[in-house]
Amino acid sequence: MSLFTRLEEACARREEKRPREPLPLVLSHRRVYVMPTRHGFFFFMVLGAMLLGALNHNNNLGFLLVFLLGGMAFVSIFHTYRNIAGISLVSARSSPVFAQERAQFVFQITASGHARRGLSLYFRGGEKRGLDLLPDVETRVDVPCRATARGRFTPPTLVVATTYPFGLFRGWATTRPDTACLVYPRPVAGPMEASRTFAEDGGGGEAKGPGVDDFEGLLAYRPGDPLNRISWKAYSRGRGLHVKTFAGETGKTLLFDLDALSGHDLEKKLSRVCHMVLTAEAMRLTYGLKLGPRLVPPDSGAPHRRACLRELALFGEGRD
Amino acid sequence: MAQADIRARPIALAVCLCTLPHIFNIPPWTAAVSAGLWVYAFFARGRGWPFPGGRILTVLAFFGFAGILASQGGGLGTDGAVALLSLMAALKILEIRTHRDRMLTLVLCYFLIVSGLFFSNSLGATLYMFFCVWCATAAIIHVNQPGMGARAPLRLSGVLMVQALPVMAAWFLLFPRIQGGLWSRFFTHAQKTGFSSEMSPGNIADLARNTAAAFRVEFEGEPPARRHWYWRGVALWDYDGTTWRIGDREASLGRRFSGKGRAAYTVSLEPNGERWLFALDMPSGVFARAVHRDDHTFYIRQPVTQRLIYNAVSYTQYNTGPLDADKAALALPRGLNPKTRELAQRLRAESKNTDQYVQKILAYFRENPFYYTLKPPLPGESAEYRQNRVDEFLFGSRRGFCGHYASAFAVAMRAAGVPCRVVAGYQGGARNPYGGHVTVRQSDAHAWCEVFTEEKGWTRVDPTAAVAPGRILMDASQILEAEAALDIFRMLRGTRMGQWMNTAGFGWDYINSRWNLWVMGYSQREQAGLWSRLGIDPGGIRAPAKAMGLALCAGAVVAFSVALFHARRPGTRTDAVGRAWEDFCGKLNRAGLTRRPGQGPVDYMETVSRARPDIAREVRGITSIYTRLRYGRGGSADSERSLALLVRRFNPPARRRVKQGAE
Repeated sequence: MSLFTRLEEACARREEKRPREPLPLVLSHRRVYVMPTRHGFFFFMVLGAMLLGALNHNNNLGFLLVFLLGGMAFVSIFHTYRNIAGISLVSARSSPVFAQERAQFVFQITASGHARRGLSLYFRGGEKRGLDLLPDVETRVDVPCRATARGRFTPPTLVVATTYPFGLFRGWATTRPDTACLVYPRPVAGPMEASRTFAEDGGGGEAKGPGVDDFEGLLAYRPGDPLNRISWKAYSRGRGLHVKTFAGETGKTLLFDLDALSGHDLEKKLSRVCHMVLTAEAMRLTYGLKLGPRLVPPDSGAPHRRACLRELALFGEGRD
Repeated sequence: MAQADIRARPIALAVCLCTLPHIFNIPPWTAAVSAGLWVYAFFARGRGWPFPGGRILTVLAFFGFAGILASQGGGLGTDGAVALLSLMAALKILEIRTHRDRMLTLVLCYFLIVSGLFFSNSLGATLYMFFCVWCATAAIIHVNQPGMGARAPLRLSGVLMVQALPVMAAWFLLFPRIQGGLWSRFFTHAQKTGFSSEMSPGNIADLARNTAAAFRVEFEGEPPARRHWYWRGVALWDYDGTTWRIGDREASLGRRFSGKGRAAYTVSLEPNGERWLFALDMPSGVFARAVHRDDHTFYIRQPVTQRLIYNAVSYTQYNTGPLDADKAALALPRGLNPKTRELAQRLRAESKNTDQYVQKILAYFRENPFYYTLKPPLPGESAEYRQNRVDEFLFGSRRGFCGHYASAFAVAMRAAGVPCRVVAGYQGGARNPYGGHVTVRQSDAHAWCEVFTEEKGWTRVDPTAAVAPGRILMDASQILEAEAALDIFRMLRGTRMGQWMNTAGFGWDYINSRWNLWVMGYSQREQAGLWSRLGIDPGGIRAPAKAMGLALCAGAVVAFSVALFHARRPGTRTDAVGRAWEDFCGKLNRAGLTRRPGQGPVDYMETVSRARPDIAREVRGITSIYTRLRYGRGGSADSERSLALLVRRFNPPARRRVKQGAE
């Protein structure tokens, strides 16, 4: 087995140097490799033993059977090969995730000519996804991959593999699709530290933490609202999910300034800002971002939150 | 207790099919235990029976191994090894947990199939082995693609097998054979059927009930007349009062003799565990690595454990020349069979020469109430005959078969000082109307005598013919038939069914003989011929390597072209939905509503509906099911079936009616 892992690693190292390829992309016959699996090696050992027996006994029936089995294994190589060649990756999409989360790359895949069976798709080192393809039908498959660091995450090599039909041979083709997933910083909880508000006073006074004393009213629940703010009382009366809001939250405008945070670890600071953005959005505050020279004017709502998180994700990277 | 595996069922079936041919070769208890395990594995899942844990299985495996060792007497012969393999395969089904276990069990199945060749290599057995390979391969496909259902793996397995046949043929023809094997053959056939190199009353009668083929003979040109079909096996010299034996004779280069009526032929001898080769009387040479004895018989050094094919030349008229001072041809156990001796001496004194004496003895058989029967009375225990079996036969029971007659005749000859020996072999055979070859069966086993005279040398005398001349013209199975009151063949004889069975039997025998000669008989010699035709010098040192290279190349070319053919085949859509849609489009096309290339189904539906309002409803219905199946969340097998049904019923009328409707 170690031989396989070593081979696989060697392949992976070579692949990392290859350029990324834009989709759509056809896995042509030149990309397909076929190797015996360990069951295949076992099968060939048994076959070898049988061949020795047939040779020794000079038994033609033995030869016939050994060559039939060998011939079937041999022909199966072509079937394995045909099961991969001609598959095309039409498109890949992904939704942004937070660092350390699993990114899902959604591929649209189609195969020309004939059905493909027992395919497995995975990013090298990642989880495998199995699928069958009908001829000329676009099929969707979600391939997960762990996103480790903040930023624009480009997935490792994508492997399309199969052991069809016997499990004695494994055929595979690899590609590095030119797709990326936006990875937000991992939110780290901490005190809300807005450097200043955009309120009239304009002073540099620290914003107070969210007040929980002055209950103001109920708002319809939106996904992402903190669970502890849900008004279960209202829910139990059958009025649906609502979130409690408190006085002192609305109307205030916060600006999260990265430089104003204490500490030296940039990633940690970004993580904290990320958490602040999420909290502020959950509380439906109006907030803005100041990341070094870049300023995101205050606003609220999902698109604004996305824009802020995007800024955080791409901070320090050469953009555009 | 582990859960039974859903994929255990096909594996259990495969193991069962692969073990079945061994069931009579392995100890009965092993067969019973294995069968129990298959049944358990097959039904355990459905009934929710528990599967034994690893420890129980280890204990079972240990006891199985010990039991097989014990029943084999400590050693592990072919039977033992196969019994062990069957038992382990059956136990392994219960142990299946992972993919690895499944694959291991199925590869073991292949081993089981191939081990069948130690028991039989007849065409029937070969066909069954191929059937097993087909099933086991389908099981492997099922294990790897469990979503394929039950039928698709069988189909795919068949396709792969057919595609592999040319590769198999190329490798089979070209792969170098090694004369004599790599090391000593570690096991041999356990069974010794048929012929024996001894003759005591009883063993030929047993053979008469065995209709298995003993050997097949293919003559170059027309075979000699049927009355010459005496297939010589061994010459028996030594008689101890009950049994005739070959005696202790020196192997020589054989004796030359002059002869006429040359017959050259090829014999394909079925394995019988003996070392004797059979040839037509009187053989001048047998072209195998055989030892030629001075009584014109041949043997090889190793018992015949596999079908042996050899050429031979015989002369139907011959003179073996003078006799060496051979006391063995006159020896008789002292003091036995006094009445026979007395008769012999009386008749010898009455005759002028040996020939006349021979005729007198034969006449004695003919004129006294002797009966030819395969069910002779058991030897009596009266004081008079206890030791004197020949006396008992000649003067007492007078019932017997060829062994009794030959034995009595030889004793009578020797008692009168005429050199005589018994020859055991086969007589007769059936000429196959298709192939023209002659099949000799175990039931054709026969014994006759040879008498030496100065003028003619050793001459064949068949005393049985004096009593039952029909024996020479019909075979023993027919005699058995006449004796059996309720014989199925007798009941069928003359009916159309009987004729049909007869024809089918000859056809099957013909195919068998071709198979044995061309495929099972393919040897280094034929291969050398093929190599030299392909431009490889068979004597060259690098010839095997070249042939192997050529075999691999040929296999690769064949496989590649097969795959290419498969890939180029148009319309390889295998799904029912796609097929139904293609049929639907074809029907519309015939009605004059052709789909533009690349036109989507919904767009097509709109076009058709506008052009043909009369069929719009049907078209819309079919298209909606199709799009739901194809582009939506998919559907059940039911909706696939209803799509197929709708398409089958869909029958758009020709354009003419539409025009009428439009006007």
